Amino acid sequence: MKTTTAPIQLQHVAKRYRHSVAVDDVSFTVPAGCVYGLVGPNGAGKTTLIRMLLGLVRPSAGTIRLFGSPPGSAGYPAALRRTGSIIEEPALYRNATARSNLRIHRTALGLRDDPRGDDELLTTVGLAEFGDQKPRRFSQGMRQRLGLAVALVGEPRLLILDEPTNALDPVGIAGMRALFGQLASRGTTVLVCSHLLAELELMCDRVAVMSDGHLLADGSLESLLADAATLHRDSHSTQPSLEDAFLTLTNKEIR
Amino acid sequence: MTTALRTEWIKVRRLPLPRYLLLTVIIAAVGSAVAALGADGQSPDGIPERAGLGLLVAGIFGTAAFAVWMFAVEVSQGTLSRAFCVEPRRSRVILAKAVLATVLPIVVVAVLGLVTLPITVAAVNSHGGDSTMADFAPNIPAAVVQIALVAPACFGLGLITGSMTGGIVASLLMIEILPGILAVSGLADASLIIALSSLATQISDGQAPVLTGSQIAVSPLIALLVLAAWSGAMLALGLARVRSTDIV
Ligand SMILES: Nc1ncnc2c1ncn2[C@@H]1O[C@H](COP(=O)(O)OP(=O)(O)OP(=O)(O)O)[C@@H](O)[C@H]1O
Ligand SMILES: [Mg+2]
Repeated sequence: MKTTTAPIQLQHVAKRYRHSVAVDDVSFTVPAGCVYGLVGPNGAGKTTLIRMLLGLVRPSAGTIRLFGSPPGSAGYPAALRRTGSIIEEPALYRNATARSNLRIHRTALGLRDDPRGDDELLTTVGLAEFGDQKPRRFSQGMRQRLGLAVALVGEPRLLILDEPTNALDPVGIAGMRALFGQLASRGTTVLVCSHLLAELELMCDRVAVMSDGHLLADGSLESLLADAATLHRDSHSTQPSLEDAFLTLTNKEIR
Repeated sequence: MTTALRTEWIKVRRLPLPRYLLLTVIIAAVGSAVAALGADGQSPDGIPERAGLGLLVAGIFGTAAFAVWMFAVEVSQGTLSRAFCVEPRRSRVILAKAVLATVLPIVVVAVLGLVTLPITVAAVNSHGGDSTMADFAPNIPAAVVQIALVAPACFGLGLITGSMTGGIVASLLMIEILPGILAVSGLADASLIIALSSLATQISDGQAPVLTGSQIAVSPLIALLVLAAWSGAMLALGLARVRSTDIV
């Protein structure tokens, strides 16, 4: 019997820099079709972890598998082409139109031109009227939206999004939440990093919490919240939120 | 590899700088050739250099700027990560860029050389000369050889510095220093200082510019080998740097 390989598998992954340890012995698996939240305070190592997944940064130790293929293996380029990503700031050619940005990415993926597909993507992210404008003139939120459209080119099976809700307005955030739901129902896996915990609580099935390079907890949202509830039985009369769980785990209780 | 080449070609077509560079080189090349037609008080011998000066100077400048830009643009726009997230075999991306950085300037310079050839002949003959196209045709392969050597080296400098300014400054130093050391006999000299100083002479006293700059004469073959080795070394250094670095 063949089980589908998990899109993301991390085993004892570490990244050490000369004067700091960005990621230390992190292991978790993101199953297919799941919206997976990655949270942690500033400097926790989330972006570094994502850069290692995408082959931009070499891990100092451990194994990374994207659709079963480690970076550098024969299957890795194909695995990357099934992965759409945004890392912190969306990477855009600011002097090329929104449509050109999509077209460049489509060509890079080895796909044929698809002006209709590009228009649909622009509509999906709410930029239908801005296809011929250049990101240089976009607001931050509009750039973020175009970054998402670029990440969606070629119907990726995995989306890795580092703070995609950065600078998005409430309508944009709600739209993104709806989009993740649709994508997950079609079997697309989403790994999303964000500091908007209330928002993540609405979108995610599973969550990993990192701090100072370590993985503090990971699992289904319910189990994480249940753990937080047992730890905090006295102080919380109501069901605890992801924020409560986060603050408990990272020991940053606000008094 | 074809995907990588197509991607880079789309970028060249969709981003503005290559267009502006192309326009500048066309205006300089055709403009200087046409200006030679109406030059006063020139001996026929001075006309070909005068006509070819625009193509020589703008061609070398434009090639250096374009070759450096091919890589530096990704750094300045923060799109290098995007390129390498699609094609993790980084040397493919870099080689595709190096190929376009070299081939496109060669095509442009060759075509402009052909376009300006009849204008040059007409200019010489209108000043009492007696020339045919065949007299000046060797200038075109000479220019192509120079571009073919300068472009990969400038591209390599763009890789090493990772910046437009740094790459161009390094390229200008290289373009100036190398031809000063090595003169490729039989080829027009690529030295910018010589080209620019002759332009200045021409403007100041209407004298025909003299485009020679051979300090040390070596055989064309050795000179070519040394220049090719230099270009290859720049390219290899840049490639090693980009392949081994974390992209953050
Ligand atoms: N190139 C680098 N050289 C040295 N240290 C680095 C480098 N990149 C990241 N770090 C360090 O690694 C740690 C983790 O950084 P990272 O960007 O992964 O955090 P993050 O979880 O994404 O934070 P944020 O929520 O602020 O985006 C930080 O302490 C940072 O200083
Ligand atoms: Mg980050």
